Amino acid sequence: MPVRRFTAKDAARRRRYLKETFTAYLYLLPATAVLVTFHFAPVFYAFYVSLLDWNYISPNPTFVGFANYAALLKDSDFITSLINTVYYVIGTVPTSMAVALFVAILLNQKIRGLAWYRTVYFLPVITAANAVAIIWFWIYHPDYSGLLNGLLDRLGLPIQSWLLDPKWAMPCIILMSIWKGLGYNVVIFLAGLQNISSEYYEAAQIDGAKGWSIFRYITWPLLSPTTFFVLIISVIGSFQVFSQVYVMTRGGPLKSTLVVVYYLYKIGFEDFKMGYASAMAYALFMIIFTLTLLQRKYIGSRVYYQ
Amino acid sequence: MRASGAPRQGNQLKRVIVCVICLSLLVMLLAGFSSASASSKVTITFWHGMGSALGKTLDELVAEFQKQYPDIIVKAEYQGSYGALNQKIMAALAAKKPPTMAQAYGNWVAEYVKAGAVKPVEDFFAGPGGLSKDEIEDFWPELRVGCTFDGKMYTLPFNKSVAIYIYNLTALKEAGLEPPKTWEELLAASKAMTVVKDGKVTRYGMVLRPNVDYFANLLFTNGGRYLDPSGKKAVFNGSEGVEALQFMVDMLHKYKVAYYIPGYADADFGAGKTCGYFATSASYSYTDKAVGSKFEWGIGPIPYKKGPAAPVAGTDLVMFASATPEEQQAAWKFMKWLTSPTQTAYWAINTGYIPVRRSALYLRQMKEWMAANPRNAASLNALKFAVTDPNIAEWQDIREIISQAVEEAFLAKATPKEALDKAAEKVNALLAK
Repeated sequence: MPVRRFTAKDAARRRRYLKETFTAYLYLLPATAVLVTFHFAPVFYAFYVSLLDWNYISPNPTFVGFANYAALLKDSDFITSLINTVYYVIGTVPTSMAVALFVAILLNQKIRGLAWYRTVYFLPVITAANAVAIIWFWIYHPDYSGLLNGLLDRLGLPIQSWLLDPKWAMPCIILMSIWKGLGYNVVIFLAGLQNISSEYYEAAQIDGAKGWSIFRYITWPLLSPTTFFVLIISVIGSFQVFSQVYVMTRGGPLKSTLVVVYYLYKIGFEDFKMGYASAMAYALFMIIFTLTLLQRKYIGSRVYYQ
Repeated sequence: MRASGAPRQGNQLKRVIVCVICLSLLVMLLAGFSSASASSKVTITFWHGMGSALGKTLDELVAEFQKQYPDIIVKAEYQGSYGALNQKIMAALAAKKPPTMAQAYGNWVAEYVKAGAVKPVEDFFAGPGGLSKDEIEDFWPELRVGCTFDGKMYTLPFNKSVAIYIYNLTALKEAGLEPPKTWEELLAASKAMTVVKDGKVTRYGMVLRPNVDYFANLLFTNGGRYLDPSGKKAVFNGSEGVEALQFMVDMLHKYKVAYYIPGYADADFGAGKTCGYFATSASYSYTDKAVGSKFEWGIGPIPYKKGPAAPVAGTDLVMFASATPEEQQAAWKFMKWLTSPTQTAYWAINTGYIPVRRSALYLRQMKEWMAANPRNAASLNALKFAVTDPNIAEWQDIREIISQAVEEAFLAKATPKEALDKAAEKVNALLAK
């Protein structure tokens, strides 16, 4: 086989290739720098910290290996927070998705004041949790002056102390979270619905399909990539619930709303046990990562891609 | 001539511009020199958590200090709530850029001391600019204990408030009662002030909070303490503690003259929902704001069972080790000045905090103020019974454990004894570490 000689033309091409590559990296640099500084570096640093017994200011932290991870398994508060988090995820994700899909379908119709409705549904998403909390505190007020209790009282039902009651506190947080996060899912579903070509519906109508069967055989399968996406990000987001708990209950009463990220915050930024908090963050990451892989495997295979 | 005149005019213009630039550079240079001479003044930063009215009074004190010590610049910076203050101090210490000094609770300081980040105030006691033995002993003994770690005084007491009982005087008068002095009288007054309409309570005599501070008020006035003198064993689950918690539980569930809320109670008090609550002497301004002119209200010491006690809480002044010797000297001057009898009296009169020096009570302005405000005076007179929280690093955890026990008892998940025994076990395990 004759060896091809490296020519001057090749050298020029190679130079141009290098130059283009260099330019590309130059363009990528700002974003990469930000990502590395504020995402990747802290992620790796947190792993290192998770192997330490460190109070954040002590000049000589103790290296403890995986002792923090072992301690997690024996920490009853961590187990409680994990159970509460799962309760929260199960309470919010399916309901929120179902309601969001329903609302998205309604908003996909040609109705009057569509833009107005879309704005209204999206407003809670962008409203700060603190501002939202003030309204919901009033709704959940523990005596007769509360909105919810006033309603119960008028219906002749016994009033509840809502956020002060360990039995009710989590359902209260869940309801508020569904309301607050709804608009986000609605927007994504809406985009998914508008992606479905109208030809399918026209063809189905010609074949005589009606309401439910159109939804069941056209909308649902064609929307499945969107549904799958919403499911994945809802599960990830719900496992990281924090601000609602932080502003409404601080994990109480009696740890009934103690969720993992709030517990992690408390350990890390109130008790300053940085090593332990970082280990908890990694444990949560592993749980979410595993769940996402499982969802991809078992649910992802049933998604219909056009 | 004319033709060549124009460029010459242009040159003149250029010269003028150059002159202006040179002059302004010179001025800037001189300004630079003068600011360099200004920087021979020492600047110290002071991080604090004193908001609204309290912060205003602190700013007034800082301004007064600047007048008296023109070569020291004090930058007093409000950092938000106490929680935020501690978070910011910790972050600043981690970044090795702490302020010169700050307000801090004893248990925070315990952590800072462990990390070797604190310059002890005791280092400044000796010498002409220091504090004499008499002056040191002029600080309330209980407060000095809270500033001492391993036998050395690290901090100076600053804003300390004493726990008080706040009541709706109008409602009390309507009931024909005197302000309650004992637990029994408190219960009787709460019963008398509770109003029931159609089977619904429309006004309560008392509001409780499911936290360690409410429990402590009753524990201390029942002769109890958190820990034994060694500081290594919990004793709050003794009969004094159990009675204290039982008393609150009975007010809630047996007599139904009280309810409980997790947050601050001043809004409910102002709205007339409750006729009494426990607070601290530093919260007068908040109560005043909440009540306005709706009714008359009064304050008194925490009602007692065995004997009066005045639970005292608040922060101390801490100086950080990383500051330069000049900054530390300046910070020491400021700390000493801020806690001197005259200034602590001004601070007390304007905020409701207690004067940290005993001799301040004998100053003319203090005496006048106490004569004009007999109820405030009552809480100050209780200071000889002052009790403070242990200044150990584990204190935050212990507070949470006890608060949890109080909440369990309030929710009837456990009897007061069960809840406190369980808490004591956890606390002992923590202290044994």
